[in-house]
Amino acid sequence: MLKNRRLTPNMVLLVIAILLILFPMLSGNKYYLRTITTLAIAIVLTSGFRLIALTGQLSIAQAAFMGVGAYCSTLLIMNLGWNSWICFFLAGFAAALTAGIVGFITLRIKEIYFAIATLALNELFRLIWVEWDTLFGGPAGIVNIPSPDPILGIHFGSVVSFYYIAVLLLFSATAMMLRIERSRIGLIFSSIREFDTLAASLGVNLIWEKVKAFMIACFFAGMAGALYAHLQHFISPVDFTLMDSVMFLLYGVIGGLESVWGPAVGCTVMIFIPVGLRLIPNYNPVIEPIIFGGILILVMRFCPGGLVGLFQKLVSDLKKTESQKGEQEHAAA
Amino acid sequence: MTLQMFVQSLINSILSGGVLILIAMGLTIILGIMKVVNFAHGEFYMLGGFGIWWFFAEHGLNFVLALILSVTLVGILGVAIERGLFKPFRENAFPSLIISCGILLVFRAATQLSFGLVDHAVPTPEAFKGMIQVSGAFLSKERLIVICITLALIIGLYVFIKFTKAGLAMRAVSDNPAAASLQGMSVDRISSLAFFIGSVLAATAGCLTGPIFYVSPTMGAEPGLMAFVVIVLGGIGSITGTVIAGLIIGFIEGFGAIPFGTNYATVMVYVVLLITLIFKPMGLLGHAEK
Repeated sequence: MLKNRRLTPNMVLLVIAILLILFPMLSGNKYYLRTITTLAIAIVLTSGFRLIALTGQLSIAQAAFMGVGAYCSTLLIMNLGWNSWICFFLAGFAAALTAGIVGFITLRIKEIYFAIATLALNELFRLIWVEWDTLFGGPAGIVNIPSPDPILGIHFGSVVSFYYIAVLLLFSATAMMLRIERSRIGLIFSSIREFDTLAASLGVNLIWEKVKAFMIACFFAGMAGALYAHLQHFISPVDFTLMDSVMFLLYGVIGGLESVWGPAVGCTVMIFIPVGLRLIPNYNPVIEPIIFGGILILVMRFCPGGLVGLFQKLVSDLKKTESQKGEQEHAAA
Repeated sequence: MTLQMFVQSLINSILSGGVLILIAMGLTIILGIMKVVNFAHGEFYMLGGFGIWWFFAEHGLNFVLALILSVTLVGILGVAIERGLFKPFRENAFPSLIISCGILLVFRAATQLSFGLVDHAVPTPEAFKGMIQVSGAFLSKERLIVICITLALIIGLYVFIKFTKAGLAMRAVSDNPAAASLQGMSVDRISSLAFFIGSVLAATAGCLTGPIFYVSPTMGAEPGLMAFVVIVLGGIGSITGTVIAGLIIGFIEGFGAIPFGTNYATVMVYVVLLITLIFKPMGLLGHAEK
């Protein structure tokens, strides 16, 4: 019991951080490095989705905001030759600005309207990228996106360097989300979800707070998008579709939206399931959505708290039986 | 724009608007009565299309028989999904939305797995073949017949909801489920009825457009999404709003497609939606929630 108590979440986080930093030195397998890089990007996006969900809204356009960041950074670098690190942040700001404008239009009303409006927004962006081919390259996308500019003589271009950038982004995004959630702003966000009328009567500006959550989430989505563009050296409208947005929702829900760990757990499990399945010979990837959708339905139906919720429930059940046992022994003695 | 082009665009607009209304009506009824957001609604449309392809094109059944068979099967499937999956999440929009995303993934992939990711052609039934010439424009009989059936269904549904006892019960449950069940209405049965009607309408739309367009596992994606745009634009819960919004979107798509291309026409639809939401946040005919 004592040992268990010492294992605080912060320590787990530290261990994971050290493992992630050491991983490239332990294993040179580029396939796994790339998978973890994509995983980090997915976790950043899913955490954003969760932050919006904290205010009681579902955004099904996170992939589109990732695309806004990716296209913004790519165009600034390739057409105007700006420094890629500045563009990296500008990508975040562009996505946040877009989110702000859309948020003020659609977040004034409750729930469903916003979810559907974001759905439409994702399609709107995709169509603009497809149709405006002189600027965005049309359905063929933009190729030959350069690697990030070197800083202090360090060149970025290898799989390992992208891995570290992604891990850095993951940590800064997660730290930021944790700070927000444990601060006053986090309380305000949850108060909106729990009872918005009451929150408003206590002086919470509902629209502005919801827009704020949406903008912060999309800021990180935009940065993750810019990183994705550099990583792939190629972007096209197919990378940021509605289905991708649905996937972030799926990752978040399967992991559990109640806990900060949810997005990370959900993304890790759901990204490594296909990796494992592909080892099976004669495997048909068409079956993947069936598995994903099936897991989503089962999780929603039987443990709405997601995998993290399930784990917490098991742990508390275990503790309960242990303490009951202890009490019984105590009584017997 | 010549008169001929005008007439043809008009027919195409009414056709696409009518099909959208058919899909969106079911969606708005389900949303109104059960407060369930069904993202998988477009998949009922797709399954209807596959039903007509399977029974009519592959197994040579009579078109009307194939239509009835496929529509009934999809309706039963809809009720099964309502009973099995959506029932615990009634009055709870978000969990139902998430679960419907899962259903969507499963349906789309399962059809793709069974029938492949190719377009399947459904031949035009004999009775629908031929052309009619109206002021220089050649209109296919098929499209006109589909428009007539669609209009008849929409009017029928409207009459059903406004003037029959079951329709009254549906409106009562959508207004206040607790009070309705205190008056002896079975919320369970009304919900199943709503889901049945909704999935039947979507499947009918799929059956009717099957011979005009192609049948493919992803055919439900676009109309399914557009149906949501229709109900948000018209105002959730408003049948009249759904009809008006469906026609508006049909006309934007039908008339916008010629000068700008179909993709830009779709962009225009979304822009119209966002602009409408700025001025009328609850949609054209929507009213604030109590």
